[in-house]
Amino acid sequence: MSNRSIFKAALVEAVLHEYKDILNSTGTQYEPSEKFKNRIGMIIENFNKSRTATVTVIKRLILVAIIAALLTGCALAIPAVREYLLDYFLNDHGSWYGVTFDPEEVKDAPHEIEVFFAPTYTPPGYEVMAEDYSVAGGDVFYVNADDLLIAYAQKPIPSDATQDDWIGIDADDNVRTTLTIDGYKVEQIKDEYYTTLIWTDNNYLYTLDYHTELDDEEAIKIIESIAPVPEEKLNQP
Amino acid sequence: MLTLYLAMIDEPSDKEKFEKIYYAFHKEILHVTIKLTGSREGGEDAAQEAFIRIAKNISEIKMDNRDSVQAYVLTIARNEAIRYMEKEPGLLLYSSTENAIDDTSPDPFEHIENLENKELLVKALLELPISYREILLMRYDQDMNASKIAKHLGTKPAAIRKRLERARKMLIRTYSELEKEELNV
Repeated sequence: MSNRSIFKAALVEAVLHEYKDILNSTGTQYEPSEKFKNRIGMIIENFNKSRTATVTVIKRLILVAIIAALLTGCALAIPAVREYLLDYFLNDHGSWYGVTFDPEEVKDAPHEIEVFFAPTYTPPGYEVMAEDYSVAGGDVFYVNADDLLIAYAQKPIPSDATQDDWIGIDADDNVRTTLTIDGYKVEQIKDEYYTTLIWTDNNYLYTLDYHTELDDEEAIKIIESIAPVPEEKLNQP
Repeated sequence: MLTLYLAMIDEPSDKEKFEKIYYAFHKEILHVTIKLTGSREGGEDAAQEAFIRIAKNISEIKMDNRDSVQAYVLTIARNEAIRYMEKEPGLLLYSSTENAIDDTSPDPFEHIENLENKELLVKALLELPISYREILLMRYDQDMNASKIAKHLGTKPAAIRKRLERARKMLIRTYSELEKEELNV
């Protein structure tokens, strides 16, 4: 059982513990009152009305997008623009970012991790708290004496590369910048507390999350130090 | 009643998912909300809000195993019961652990070296306020980010981020303390 599985199982047990006494006490028969039924009907009606309005707005936006696509079609003929558009997208959904890949670019990407990559550099004052490698992903956590964390992750690209909600990054009150680190286009998302760096080599997706007290230069050094994880480390119990 | 909730959901697979959750846990949800609010009316109000919140977010819920889903739905139910109680001045919550939320002044840090001791980990988690346990559950078991957790619990992402950071610190500290105690014994 991996650390992650143990942690999840412990969390579920610790949350359910809170309800042990309640659920063990005399049962309540679920017979909703008429008032309850009427109220829920009203709420759902309002919800569906607002959803219809949203769909209408979305239809209009799609029309605008089609016109825009027709107008910008010629830009795809320019290699540099095309490369950027077909690379990957950090899609802004207002309160969160989603990630999609161009299916053609990632068609040979493995859907499980085949080669693990991890940083070899540890910023001064930090130490590796945990490392976890499974086919579903690789994680390295660093911590310093003030409990500030740095989390590195390597994830496989999902089988549906156009699916947008498999990873979500906070978009509230942040500043987004595109950097080039070690030849990769890296998106930086920075808010008051945390910075996220996210990039891909079209085989895997990589993220580095760190507290804003860590210098960005140190984060860049971590990325620049990324190398294949030695076999002996993967085989450690 | 179930038909009414299903009217909120578009995808057939999501409808099926909601049906499973509803049949498995609707009695428990109502039971918990009635106990927490202390009234049938309050419990029904909170339960109905919980079902609506679950229906709205159904596509994001991971159905890995029964216990995991149960922990998630009861978390939603408890938070809706709290919201109901906040609207009703003068009422007190069933759970007293909420009072401990702000007591998170950090002690010298000792990191977790070995997570394999699940019993000790559960013990450490039980030392945390339930709101901290819930947020860790949403983050690590349901794999949600702060924005999604905020949407599911009806609060602000910034508040979730702060609570998550405190929860992590408190867990690491508590676990280390318990581990030391165990070694001394």
